[in-house]
Amino acid sequence: MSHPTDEALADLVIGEPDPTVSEHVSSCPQCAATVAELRRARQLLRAVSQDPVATGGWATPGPSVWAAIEDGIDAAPATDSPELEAQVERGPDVEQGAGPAAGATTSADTPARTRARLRWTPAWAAGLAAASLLVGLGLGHQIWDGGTPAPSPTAVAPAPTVATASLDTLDTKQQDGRAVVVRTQQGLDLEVAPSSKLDPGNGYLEVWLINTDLKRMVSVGVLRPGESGRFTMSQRLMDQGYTIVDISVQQYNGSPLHSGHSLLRGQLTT
Amino acid sequence: MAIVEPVPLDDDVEVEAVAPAEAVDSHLAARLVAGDRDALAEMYRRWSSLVHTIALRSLANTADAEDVTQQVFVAAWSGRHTLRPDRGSPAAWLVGITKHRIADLHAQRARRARDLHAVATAAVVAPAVTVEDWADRLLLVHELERMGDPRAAILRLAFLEDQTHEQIADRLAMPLGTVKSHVRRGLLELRNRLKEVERVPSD
Ligand SMILES: [Zn+2]
Repeated sequence: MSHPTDEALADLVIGEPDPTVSEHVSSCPQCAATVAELRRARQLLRAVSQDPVATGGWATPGPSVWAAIEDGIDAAPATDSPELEAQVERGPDVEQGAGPAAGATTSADTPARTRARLRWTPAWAAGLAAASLLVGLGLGHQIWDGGTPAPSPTAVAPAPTVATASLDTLDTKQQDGRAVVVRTQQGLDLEVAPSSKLDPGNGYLEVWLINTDLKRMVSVGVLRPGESGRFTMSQRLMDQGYTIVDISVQQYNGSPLHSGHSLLRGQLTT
Repeated sequence: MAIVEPVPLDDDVEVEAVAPAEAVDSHLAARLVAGDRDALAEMYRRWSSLVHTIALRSLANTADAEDVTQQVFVAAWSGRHTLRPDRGSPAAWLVGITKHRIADLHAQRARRARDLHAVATAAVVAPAVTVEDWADRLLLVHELERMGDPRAAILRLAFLEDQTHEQIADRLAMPLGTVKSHVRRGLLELRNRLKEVERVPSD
């Protein structure tokens, strides 16, 4: 038998029990665990009204603490390198997959400019602040390149290709573009080149790397309609199976999640 | 070339409009992951009192609590790649780190106590369970503070003041169904925060 919804389980805890749901929970360890978690959340808040924090009584650390944090950060090795590749490679292996692959960049960047640019909001996160994204697009794509037109990919020496994918339409399975992973001095870049101009309607286009488990995905950046895009990615992401390139239509609703509306998709192969 | 079928959208990619506060948090988290130090400063402004209050309640000592607060934000910076802007709130992530640091300090105190007085004084050490509860409870209070109304108001009445759904509906002049739905969704949201705390790995 299938599990009740989370909402139905919550109803047990907030005093709207359904006998069918209760019966299921009494014989299903998984749902019983969820109910216990919900109960604990409810329980933790029960005595809170008497607590000073309920009326804003939070304790503030002394003024020396922030300075000590800054010192601690400066003392730590190599923390000023924002190259995502390096970060991802260094990181402990904890559900690492969804470490975002940072903002779009272009191949003609000097390392210094790449660094400056990576300090920008990763393009995928830009979709969160719908207003700023609208402004960015309106003002000539300031989100990812500060208004500088992207140089033509032909202007730079060809980079070694690591993997390629044919991007096909989801409905008719027609090839309508290509994705290429190339090695750069900084790590790996993902180039996404639709053959035709994709229509985002009232929304915008976002590029994702979906894991081969078809459950996890990371956003790699925003794609301008009618153009190719180049994004930072990493060997770690490839190794972990984030090898399905996907282009989705996203709405300006502030949601950082995949809309479920994909236009093109393809599997990278080496 | 293999064509992959559309992704089944599981819970984690559930399509739901994100509350503005949550969107702002994810944005901040993304900046931190990308190596923006101003994002850390902003997180400190927003959440240092949450972290510090948890530490103070658990350790009952201002100097130790400030040490922990400092360690948490340094660890947040050096471990920023473990933050997942697409999954959950930076506050829950910081609280997870805080819990681990406090547990470390309790373990140190226990060792020190053993070194000094042998086994006899080991019972003086505070039981770790209170750390769990303080951290989680204060996080939930914080969540209620930042949750927008009417949900926050409804949850306060329902959970802190133990009012019935009918009483809340009367008091706020809202349909009963709306009140119930906010309580239900709000409770699920709070439980999700606690799960996010649990997911933060100890280093
Ligand atoms: Zn079940």
